Amino acid sequence: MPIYDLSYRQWSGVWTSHPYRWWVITRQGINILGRKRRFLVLMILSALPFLVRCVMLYLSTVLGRIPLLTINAKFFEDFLSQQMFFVFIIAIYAGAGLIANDLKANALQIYFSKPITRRDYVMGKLGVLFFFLALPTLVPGMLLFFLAVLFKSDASFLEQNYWVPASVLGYSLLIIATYSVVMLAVSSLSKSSRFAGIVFAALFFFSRIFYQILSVVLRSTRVAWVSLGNNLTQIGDYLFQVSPQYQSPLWLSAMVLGLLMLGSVWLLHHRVQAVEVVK
Amino acid sequence: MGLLGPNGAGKSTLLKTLLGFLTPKTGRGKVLGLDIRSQQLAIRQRVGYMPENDCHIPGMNAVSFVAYAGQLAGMKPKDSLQRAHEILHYVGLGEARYRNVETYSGGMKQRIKLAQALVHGPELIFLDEPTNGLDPKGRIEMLELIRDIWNGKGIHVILSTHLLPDVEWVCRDALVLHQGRRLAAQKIDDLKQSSGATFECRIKGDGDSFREQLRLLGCPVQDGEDGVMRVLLVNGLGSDSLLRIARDHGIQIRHLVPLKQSLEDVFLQVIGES
Repeated sequence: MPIYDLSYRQWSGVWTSHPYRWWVITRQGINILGRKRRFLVLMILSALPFLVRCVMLYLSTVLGRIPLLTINAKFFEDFLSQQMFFVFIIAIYAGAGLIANDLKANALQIYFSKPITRRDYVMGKLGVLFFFLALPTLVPGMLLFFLAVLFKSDASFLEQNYWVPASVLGYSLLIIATYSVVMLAVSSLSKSSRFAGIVFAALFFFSRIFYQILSVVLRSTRVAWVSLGNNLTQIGDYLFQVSPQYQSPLWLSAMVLGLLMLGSVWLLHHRVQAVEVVK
Repeated sequence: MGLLGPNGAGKSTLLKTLLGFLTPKTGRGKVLGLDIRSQQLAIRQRVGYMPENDCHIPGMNAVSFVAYAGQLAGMKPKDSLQRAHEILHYVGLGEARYRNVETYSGGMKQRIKLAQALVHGPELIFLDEPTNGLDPKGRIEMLELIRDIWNGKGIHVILSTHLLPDVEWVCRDALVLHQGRRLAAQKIDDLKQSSGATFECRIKGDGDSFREQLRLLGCPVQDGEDGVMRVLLVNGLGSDSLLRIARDHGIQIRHLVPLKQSLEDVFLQVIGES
């Protein structure tokens, strides 16, 4: 008589509730990326500017060694703008293959043969990017403000800057959402993660170059809205109540980003299908 | 049940429609009593699907892949991991369960697809061309596995294939599709019986009038080598009818052997009639 039955047995356990099914996809994506050594190195590198800012904050507030450094809203906005470089690299590294690799491996049929909706799938994949993009932006941004309050030990600082955490939150979420949604949409365009990465990089680089050419020709920064990065900066300036760097209207930047996100969501809706329907 | 049909008959499309991958323009349907238009998630909770083409989730070994499939279906991580080990043993991948799925051979990939379809304990599984790309030994093992799944395990199996011997070996019922239309749906034995009985016979003498009479009765006659002919008796005619017709036409029957009708004969007949 066998001591262990290797035959099939019917499953009769307890199911998890459906609204959190997207979290399974997010958790798995985080696990897979978290095991990649290169990616971990990148994440550690992305923490370096935060450490530098912490030292600056300490020297400025506690020791008073950097008299020219002012700890105000712009200090936090500058930090987040600086982190956009890492956000860009991380978005490509973590996001380019998120859907492209699934398309290449025909994995969508596996996902959608289970009780998973398209929304669950997209939310799950977005969750991976949100997690890894929040680490160099939202998390250190909030910590930096907390440290500033701690080091300053001055109620007047908190009175003057009580709204800054909301700005850090808003600006971080805007950056994360823009990069995540656009990257994911681009990833759904192809079975090649390399192609997706190149298209995403081109989108940011070419829009920037296009803006620079136009600004030289027109001798104005009114056309800053053609660059995706500039639109983020414009809204960031508004959120941190800093005088805007560009002359283009704020509403136009918001509209461009809104349309870009809507277009990306539309693309995801049409590209993420269990089967490719040929008409 | 075997889902039969030539390439392009609509077998895979039917499965994908039942799973909710495709929305039918017209008509209605139910799977396990659940509506295919409005209860797709509930259907997929109770149904397993083994797709036709190669598919896996990149960057995972077999245990992680099958456990992940279980979690997608709603199993808790601990339960799904335990279940993944059990299922991988069951499908014969126990020794290779820590290997990356991308390094698997064709046969192993078919087994892993079956494992992910079974992990959440479905009541019904759709198998789309499960023996595709398998060598003869692998094919037999896969068919044995499928037979074991439906035979006493409480799981209903719908096997979609264009390989008739696979269906004949594994299935009890068959649904024949052609150009998106249902041509037949019944037990395979009944299907064989309903299509008539085939006899091999050899006669002495000129059999033209005998052949003509059989054809008039709607029974196809096919002449073979050495004067042996194959007669398909339809419309309830049996061997006694054949002997009577021979006697009426003064024909002596020297050899009369009933032939076992294969599913292939029936399939070709059904498709031909359509």
